[in-house]
Formats: sequence, C-alpha cells, structure tokens
Amino acid sequence: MGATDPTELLALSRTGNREALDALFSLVYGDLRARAHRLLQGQPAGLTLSTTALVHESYLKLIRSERLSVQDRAHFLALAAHAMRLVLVSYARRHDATKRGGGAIPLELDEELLLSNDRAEQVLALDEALGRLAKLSERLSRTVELRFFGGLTLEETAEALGVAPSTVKLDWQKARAWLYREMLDA
Amino acid sequence: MPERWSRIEAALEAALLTPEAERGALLDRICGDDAELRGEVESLLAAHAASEGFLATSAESFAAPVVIAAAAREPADRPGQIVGRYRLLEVIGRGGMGMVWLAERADGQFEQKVALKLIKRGMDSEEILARFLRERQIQARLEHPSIARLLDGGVSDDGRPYFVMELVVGRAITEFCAARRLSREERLRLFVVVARAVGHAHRNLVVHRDIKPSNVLVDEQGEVKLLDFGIAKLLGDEGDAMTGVTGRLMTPEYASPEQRTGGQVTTASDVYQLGVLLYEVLTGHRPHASGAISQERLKGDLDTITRRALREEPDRRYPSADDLAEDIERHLAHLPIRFGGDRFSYRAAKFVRRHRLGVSTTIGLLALTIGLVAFDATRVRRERDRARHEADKAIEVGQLMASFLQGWSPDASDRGEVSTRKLLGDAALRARRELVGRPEILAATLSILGDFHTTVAEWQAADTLLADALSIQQRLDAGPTADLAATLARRGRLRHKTSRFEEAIAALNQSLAMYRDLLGRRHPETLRIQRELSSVYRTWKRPGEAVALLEDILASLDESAADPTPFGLEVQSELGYALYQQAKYDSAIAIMRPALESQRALFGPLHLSTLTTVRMLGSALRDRGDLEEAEQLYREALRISIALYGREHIETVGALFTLSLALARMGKLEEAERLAREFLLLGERAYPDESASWYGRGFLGGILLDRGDFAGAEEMLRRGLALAQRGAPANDPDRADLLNRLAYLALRRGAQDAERVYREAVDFDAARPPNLPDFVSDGVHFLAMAEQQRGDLAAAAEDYRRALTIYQKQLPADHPYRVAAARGLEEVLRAP
Repeated sequence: MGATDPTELLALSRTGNREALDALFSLVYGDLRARAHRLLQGQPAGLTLSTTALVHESYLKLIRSERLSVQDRAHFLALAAHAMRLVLVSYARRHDATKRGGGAIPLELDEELLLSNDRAEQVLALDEALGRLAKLSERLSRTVELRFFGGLTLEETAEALGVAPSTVKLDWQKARAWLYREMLDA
Repeated sequence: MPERWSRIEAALEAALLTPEAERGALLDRICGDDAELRGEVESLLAAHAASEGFLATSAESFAAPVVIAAAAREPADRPGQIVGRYRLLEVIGRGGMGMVWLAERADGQFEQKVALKLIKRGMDSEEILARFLRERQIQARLEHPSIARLLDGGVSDDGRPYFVMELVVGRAITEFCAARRLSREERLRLFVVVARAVGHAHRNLVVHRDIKPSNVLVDEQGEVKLLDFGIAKLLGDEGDAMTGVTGRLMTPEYASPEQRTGGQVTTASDVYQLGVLLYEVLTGHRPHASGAISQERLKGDLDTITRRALREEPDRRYPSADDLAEDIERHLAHLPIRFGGDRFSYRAAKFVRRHRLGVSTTIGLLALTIGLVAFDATRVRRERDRARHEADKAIEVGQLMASFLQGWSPDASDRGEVSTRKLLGDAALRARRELVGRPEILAATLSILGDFHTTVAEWQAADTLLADALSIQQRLDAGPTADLAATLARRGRLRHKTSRFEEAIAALNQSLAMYRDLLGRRHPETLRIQRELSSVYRTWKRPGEAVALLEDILASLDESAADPTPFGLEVQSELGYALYQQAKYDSAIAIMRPALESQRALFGPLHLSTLTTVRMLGSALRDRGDLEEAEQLYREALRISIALYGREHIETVGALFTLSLALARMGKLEEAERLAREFLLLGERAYPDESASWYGRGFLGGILLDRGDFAGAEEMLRRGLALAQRGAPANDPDRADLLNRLAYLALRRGAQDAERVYREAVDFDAARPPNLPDFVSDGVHFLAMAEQQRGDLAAAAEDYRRALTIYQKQLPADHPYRVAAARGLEEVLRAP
C-alpha cells in the first residue's frame, strides 16, 4: 500500500485498514522526530519549538480539509490522539531504556535530563494507569486520551465521543481523580 | 468489578455535582452502611481536590523534554577542543541541557582538572552570561568544604555558555547510603553536613533551588559535596528556557510548592528540598505529593522534623537550614528537638500575616545596609593589617542583615500594612540565635539593628540592642575598633532622639575620638559623626558648639564651591541654621543662600535637603526682618511639603504654621488667620501628641488679638490654656506662651481679672527652670508691660532689662519687639 496522503490514509484506516493506521502513525511519528532533530542540529539560538505545533500542523491541515466529513473528523481526532499516545510512550520507553542500560553516565549534572527522566517515567505510569482505567470504563479512558494525548478541547472531545460537553467535563473530572489516586499509589 | 465501579462512579458523579458542604449528607444517603463504597468515593473526592494542575497541559508539551532528550544523544564536541581557557578531555556526564566534560586549563596555568558544563544551543547565552557576571562574586564567596566551587564561566566561540566547576568524583548520596548500607545514624550525620553547607550558602545569600540526590555527591572517603549551587538561578528557573515547556504533569518530586506554583523562591524552598532529601536518605523513597507522607516509615522526632521541613507554607517550615541541622543534631544527642511543637511556626506565620513589611520599606532598609557595606569596604582600605578581615566581616554583616530582613519575602506575601518594628525585632532574635559563637559578627549585627530600631522610634529595644552590642565589643578586648566606634555613635543618635542631650554628646564624643584615631580627622565617617554631634548641640540650643564643629567639617572637606557634594551642602545649611540660632542673621543668610542654590541645581526643588534649607533660610530672613523674601520661601516650603508628603502630613502642617507666623508678623492677618485655623484643624490630627491643640490655639489667639477680636482671642486662649493645663507638663513653654498672651490680652483690654492673669504669669515665670530655651522671652517682656501698667516700676524695669538681654542675643537691633522693650524700659526709667 503506497498511499502517503494523510486524508487518504485516514479514509482507509476508518474502514479498518490496519496498514493505513500504521502509515498514519508513522507519519505523525516521523514528523515529531524530524522536528526534534531539527531543533538540535545547528539551529540559531533562541529559536524555540513546540512539538505540538508541528504535529498539529500535519493533522490540523487534515482536520480543516474540506474533504473531511464530520464523521471523518471525529474519527481522525480519536485516531490522532491514539497515535500521539503511542508516539510519546515509545519515546518514553526508549528514554527509560537509555537511562537504565545504554552506557549513560551515572553522574547526572543536568536538570533537564532529570526532568526528562521524570517525565518519561510519568508518561509510562500514566499509560499503564490508563490501560487499567479502560477496563473499568472505556469512555473515561478515551476521554483522557483525547484531551491529554490529543490536546483536544472539551468541545472537540465531546464531538469525537459523540456526547455532550457537560458529560465530558464530568468524565474528565472523574478520570483525573481516579488516575491521580492510581499514580500516587503506584 | 465493572458493576462495582459503576456504583462508585455514579456516587462520585453525584458528589461532584453537589456543593461540598452537602456531600456528607448525600453520601450518607447513597452509601448507606456500605463503608467500602463510601471510602472509595471519599478517597476519589480527595484525589479530585488535590489534582489541580494534573494533566493540565497537553501530552505533547509535557513530553517534549523526553522527545528532545531522546533525539539528542550524539555529542557534537570532540576531546581536545578548546572552550574558553579550557581543553575538553572526555565526557563525564550528559543530559538534555548539554554535556559535562572533564577538562583542564589550556594555558597550563593550573594542573587541576575541572568539570566543564557546556550548555547547548537554544538557551539565551547573553542573558545567562550577564547573570553569571552578576552572580560570580557572590558565588566566589561560597567557600565551604562541602560545596563544589563554581570556578569560572563564559561563552564559547560558537556562542554557548559554559560553567566550570570543581571536579567531584562520587555518587549520589542516596546511592552511597544504600551501597554502604549505612545505619540510620550515619545517614543522619551525612545529612547534617548537607544541611549545614546549605545554611552556609544561605548566609551568603545564595539559594540552591535544586537540591536533590544527584546534586549531593559523596566520595569514597565519605566526604559530601553539593554541586550546582546557584546554577539553577543562572539558568533561569522559570520552566525550561529551551523548549518553552512550562507545564508539569504533576509534582516534580523535589520542587517545593511555591516552585510548582511559580511563587517566590527563597531559602525556604531549599529547606523544603532538604526535607525531601532527608526523607529519601532515611527511607530510600521520596515522600508522596505535598504533605501526604502516607507510608508511615518515620516515627517520633524524625517524623516531626521531616514534616516540619515539608510544610506547604514556606513560613511554617524550619526558619533556616541550620535550624533543621540543629534539630537533627539534637535528636542524635537525645536532646528534645527545638521545633517539636507547632507554636513557633504558628507565631511566625501569624506574625508574617499581621505585619507585612511594605516593599518600599524593605528596599529602604536594604539600601541602608548596602550603603553601610559599601562604606565599610572603603573604610578598611586604610587599615592595612586588618583590611581583609574587616572587609569580609562588613560584607558578611551586610548580607546577614539582608537575609534577616529578606527572610519573610514581603513581596511574595501581600500588600498589607507593615510593622517594620516587628520585622526588626524578629531579625534581632534570629541574629542572637544564629550567630552564637561568633561574637564579633553578632555584635556588629545587633548594633546595626539597634540603629534601625532608633529609626523606627523603638527606643527601648534600640537601647537594649546597642547595650548588648557594646558589652560584647568591649568584652572582645580589641581596644578601640571601628565597630565599637560605630556602636557608640549609634547610642549617641538614640540619646539625641530621646532628648538626653548630655549622654548623647558624651557617646558621640567618645565615638568621634575613636574615629579620629582610627581613620583620621578628615575621613568621611569621622566627619559624619562630627555632624551628628553638632546636630545634638543645635537641638539642645547650644549653637556655639555646633558652629565650631560644622565650620571644622567644612574646613576638612575643602570642597571647591563649583563642585559641592550633598553632604557638604547639608553641612553648610546646618551651619547657617546654627548661626541663625546665634542671631547672626547676615552670616547665616550668606552661607545658606548659595547652598540652597546648589541644592536646587543638584536635587531639584522637590527634595528633602532642599526643603530643609528653604525653611531654615526662611526663618533667618524672617527674623532679620526680610519678611517679603521669608514669605516667598515659606510659600515654597509649603508647596514642596505638599508635593512630597501630601496635605495632612506633619511636615506640611508645620510649613503651614511657619507661613502663617510670617504672615502674622507682616500684618497680613487675614490670611494668617485662615492658615492658623487650617493648622489647628490638621495639626490636631497630624501631631502624635495633643500639643498642637493648645499651641495652635495660643497662636491663633495671638492673631485674633492682633486683629482686635478680643472676645474671640480670649475664648481661644482660655480654651488653649485649659487644654495645656490638662495635657502639657507644668513647666512647658507652650503654657507660658498662653499665659503670656492672656496676660497681654488683659493688658490691652484693661480687664477685670487682669491682676489674676498677671499673677499666674508671674508665678509661672518664677517656677521656670533656669535653662529653658529663650523663646519664652516675650513673656518676660509682657510681664514687664503688666508691671508697668500696675505701677510697679522697679519690677517693670528689671523685667524689661531681662527681656532686652535675651532679645539682644536673639533679635536684630531694629526688631519691633526689641525696639518696644527698649522703649518700655526708657519710659519706666524716665517716669517720676
């Protein structure tokens, strides 16, 4: 399957095409990584980046596209949020592995590294907790995926889940409380 | 399980939709006696309440450091490369922010290997470098065996900032404790070393901000080293400058609550981080989110100590890292810990809430401190052998003072009104507690605090502090020192403020003699003390001594008229005033006029020094009889006062009075009366005691008298006299003034009770202490007039003579009072 146009991939993935989903995932993933690399290679000082900006760039183009139906849009939001979750978790896992094994020097002087260590651990912990939450309530788990990993607003989340915004608001509160407790106890 | 969950979820949802106050009742209904269900819901509600900020940012921002770090693995620099004056040898640490290299001096000046931290691109090099240059002197002072020194810093050729630090080979304190299987006691002893080192840094005004195991290394010999002191500040502590990432998923384990919420970071933040470290050193785990030390691993004292350090509110934690260290030492020695109860912290918290120090006040005090440090540093250049020691001490005392006064971080707190007094009192307590065993520093600190107390009119506290400082300084037996001389001068200032003139003069003379010995006669500090002494003489109405001292200062200053200093100008205007007090009006005016001109040029019209000279020159002109010019100056003084202080301030009210007085003398009675009434109205509120209420009435009564409104005048004067008899001391000159005016009034009216008023005036005059200031003289004058009218010519002649003797010292030959008294004497003598 050779399609690389995101819109096309999306349409395919909605029909349950596994390859299309993978392609879409690698698209988002690739963008994210390229962006991170570019940051580190000889960019002029002071130019800061938000990974958010880039990833959104690639799928906001899509979302705004005229060719997307409302249904497609909801589906895409959900899919992109899930892809983002997978991307970030995979980064966190790699980070964690580097930290543990891969020749890293134990003498850590660097606060940013400590910060990234810390965040990597938390992303992994959250991912696991979210897996447990999904067993209790699929909807709560997806709410978190859309809002936190997808970066969607309350309204967008409501649209993607096909529920009222007030429901999302309550679900979001319940899910956060549950996750917060879960991660504290872990 | 899911069925169970749906019950929990439904109950939780219902509770979330119910106001907090009604949740208990709601849960009673829903849960019934299902205690497990209720427990679940309540714990989720608690988590909900605590979860503010959790998942608040999007995952992309949150995980950005992970992504960036993952992509940033390959080093761009090579061994052998030169950075600044250093040659890179090998990578010894790496992270998202850059690499840490083992390095050596490229110019071979030192053999010693160092750790060089090369910050990667993307951070604002110029800003970091500027901060580094600002901080480096403070950093350089951080010499402590347990603090890794920051040696150097700069920007590499390709624009990346770098820091050079003492090389430390060791491992994180937590790992060290685990690997060596240290006992609890051994761990505590290690921790005390850390806390003491942090305490040392705090006394030098350096806050770490990022204390965590990876920054506290222990080498093979068990020596502790703290890394990265002050680095967090250099790199900016607001989020992450490189990625712009500020959101945090949840509490980074070592950040204090105020760091998490972006509040003010102070030494208290380090105390918090020490608390986290202590917990982890003891248990091997970090405490859970703020305050909730859920796993009960610590008991008794150690639990109390840890909880105290981990308080949510900065001002309820240990006041200092040293206090924390001390409590652990006490615990190790099986002594009761000092911060066991909550009482202290409550008191402190209450204190801070009750007495917020206004930001400007703190800045004022700090400016004062800094001025003092700067002065001390100049001073010591002259004292060759002790120079180093003195400079260190001066800087340390200044920094201590700043830290004592800063500890409550007023700008972090709020806008409420202040009690500077409370703040100072507390600083003194801290000084006494924290400087035990360092008498020299303690004495210097108490001495300065004593002086601050004088400034805020806390005489008793000032006296105690200065006495303690003196007794320590005298016990140190170092002979006359600049510190001792400074304390004596401060005591002199206090005595001056409390009107104990003789003691003030004695203390200042002692101080002056020491300063002359130590620094020489012409040293600015010597001259400052000399000026202080002269001002005591001025207040004490002994202008002769004041004139001699002030003239000597001017001779020592030897300033060219073209280039006057603020100090020289103030001395000139004070000399003018002392001359005025001596009734040498021409010389007084001759010196004050050019001084005022220079002050106007130097400071502009709206300045306190300018105002003082305007007022004093006005008085001299008024009494010389140049009433027009005096009036202009008094009007100017009033304008400046209103601009500087506002209408109801005591300074403005005083200016109102003097203008009214001048107008009255000029016969511009209508305006004088209007201003005098305004003075009476405002003065009763502006002055701290009630003196304005009778003084103002006496004055206004005098004007009414001159306007011919005898009834109004008498009413005013009698009311004033009644108030004065109730409020003023028996021999208060204001009372005499009122009596005098009443007597004069009776005289003018030929009133029935004239005899009684004369009697009173005469009695008062008889009881008058001999050295009361001369301004009661017009009473003697009026008395003579009364006696003349009664026909007691002998008494009248004697009192006219007394009045003239006083006038001759005070007033020019053609002054109306003097002329009138002379005429009266002539009449009496000529009478048959």
